Amino acid sequence: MSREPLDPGASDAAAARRCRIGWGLALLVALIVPWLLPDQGYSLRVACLVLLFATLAQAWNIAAGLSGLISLGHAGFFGAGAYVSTLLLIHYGISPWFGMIAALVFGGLLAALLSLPTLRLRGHYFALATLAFGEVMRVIGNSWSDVTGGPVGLSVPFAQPSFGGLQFASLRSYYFLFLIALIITCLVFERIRGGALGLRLRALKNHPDAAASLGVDTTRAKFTVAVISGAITAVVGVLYAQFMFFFDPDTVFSLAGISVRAALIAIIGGMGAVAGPLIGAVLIIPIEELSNMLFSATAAGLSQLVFGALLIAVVIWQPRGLLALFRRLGGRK
Amino acid sequence: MSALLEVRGLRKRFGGLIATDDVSFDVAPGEIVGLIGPNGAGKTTIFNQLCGLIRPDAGSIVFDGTSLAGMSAHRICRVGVVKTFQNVASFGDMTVLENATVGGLARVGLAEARERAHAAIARVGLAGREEVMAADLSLPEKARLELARALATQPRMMLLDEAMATLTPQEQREIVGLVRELRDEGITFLVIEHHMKTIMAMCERILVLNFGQLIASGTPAEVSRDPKVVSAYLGTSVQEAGDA
Repeated sequence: MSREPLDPGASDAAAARRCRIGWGLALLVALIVPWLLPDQGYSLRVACLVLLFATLAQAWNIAAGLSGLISLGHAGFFGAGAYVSTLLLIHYGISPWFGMIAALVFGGLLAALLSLPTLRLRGHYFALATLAFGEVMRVIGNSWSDVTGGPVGLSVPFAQPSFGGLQFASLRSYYFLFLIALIITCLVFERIRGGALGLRLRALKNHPDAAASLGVDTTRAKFTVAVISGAITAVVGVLYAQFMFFFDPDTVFSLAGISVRAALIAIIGGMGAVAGPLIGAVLIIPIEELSNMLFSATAAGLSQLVFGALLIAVVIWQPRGLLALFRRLGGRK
Repeated sequence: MSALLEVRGLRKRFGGLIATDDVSFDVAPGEIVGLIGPNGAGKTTIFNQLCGLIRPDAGSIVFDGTSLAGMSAHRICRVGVVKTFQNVASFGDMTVLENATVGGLARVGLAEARERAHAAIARVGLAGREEVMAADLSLPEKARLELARALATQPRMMLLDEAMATLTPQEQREIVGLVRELRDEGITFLVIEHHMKTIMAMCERILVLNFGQLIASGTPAEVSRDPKVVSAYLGTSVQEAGDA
């Protein structure tokens, strides 16, 4: 016998209520955590990174999760954002807040340019083309020394901590800044997923030809999310620069550290769902940091090994991400 | 009556294979026309050119005065020609309603697209199944969903590519009945189907394709007597092929 209630509407309403309670609890925890951890402490710093990389993975998820096009080049947008805002700050004294707007535009433009040749590619070919884009950006960052400072990297000039200057004395301020960025990115994701564009993207992810025959302009739909995703990713790059105060091309344009990490967080958590990148980041970033801390003296690089093992385990046993596993354990389909 | 769809000298080549060889035919408004031929005759290739998934090498496709040759698939859909897919191509991780809403979005915004989707779902007899995942539908339900999605685009002409391939004879009769009703409501049909009895019973006119060429055209009775058609089906009569 079915254990479901007879009225299917009632179970939907119950699921929606459980869902709201879940999000409410998550938000509550996110608001309490920084007050439990010592300010300026290492643990709060890790919490900030969790939020930052969750935002990055969510920005990636907007394009890849909904359209199925796995990008391995998001470091290209991320690093571009970091450089654009920091160079504007160094040379013209422009506040990183405006730097974020510049990064948003520049990231979107870059994504639009990249889309012209890549959006007709499918699957692995798209992934490889975007990977090449990220690497090209890294090479440009390293070799165009007059502008980027080359391999030496850039330092964000210290200023009196202020909201306008986007520099804070307290890690908690960064924490809440990143939390707001994450919430906005999640809302953008949900807005797209729940709307007409989201339906079109999910359709073309399932069956591109069928979607096109039903009137979906597949190129345009993919282009739109690629630009939105690239633009937001560049803004995350600005936040990273302001948080780290120093970066070089090999860090912000890193294939492993940014592009692949963004993809892995979303994939391990669960692609195409708003909660996926959050679960992925909460799990992966602390594990990475912990293993770095535990093994850096004895076995440097072990964290990458742990990371790789985790990925293989998820792909083998739970290819749809941990979110699907949690849903099953929770008795929901 | 002037033709709704006018195909002239259509040609498509894949490497050394001529998949569509100088094919010309008309479809009048309100007709149900069958396209038959042995496996590999090039039926689906013609459909894919008509709906914009494949670009023809040469020839013209004119639908009610609009040239479709070289137009992209989504624009052809908005002109009013929609294709359903051979192996069920429903969007598995989306609900029945979401599947059909994608079709509705071809012409209108989300809210109205949902209404049209509801209407199309009810029209094909899937009412009550709106919130079921498409992947969880039975095969006959999936076939109906294909029709519902296409209907939601508000087409003037539907290309059915083996819409009934997986169905039992009883289920096929139901779909044929539905297609007839839709025709009476003003939709013109071009149909590929392997079940010979079904297509002979369904269509007023049959086009027979072999090795990319149109070899016969006429009423079901005419084409099944045509010696060229009989030999194309390797010497078996069409009647026997249908019985097999």
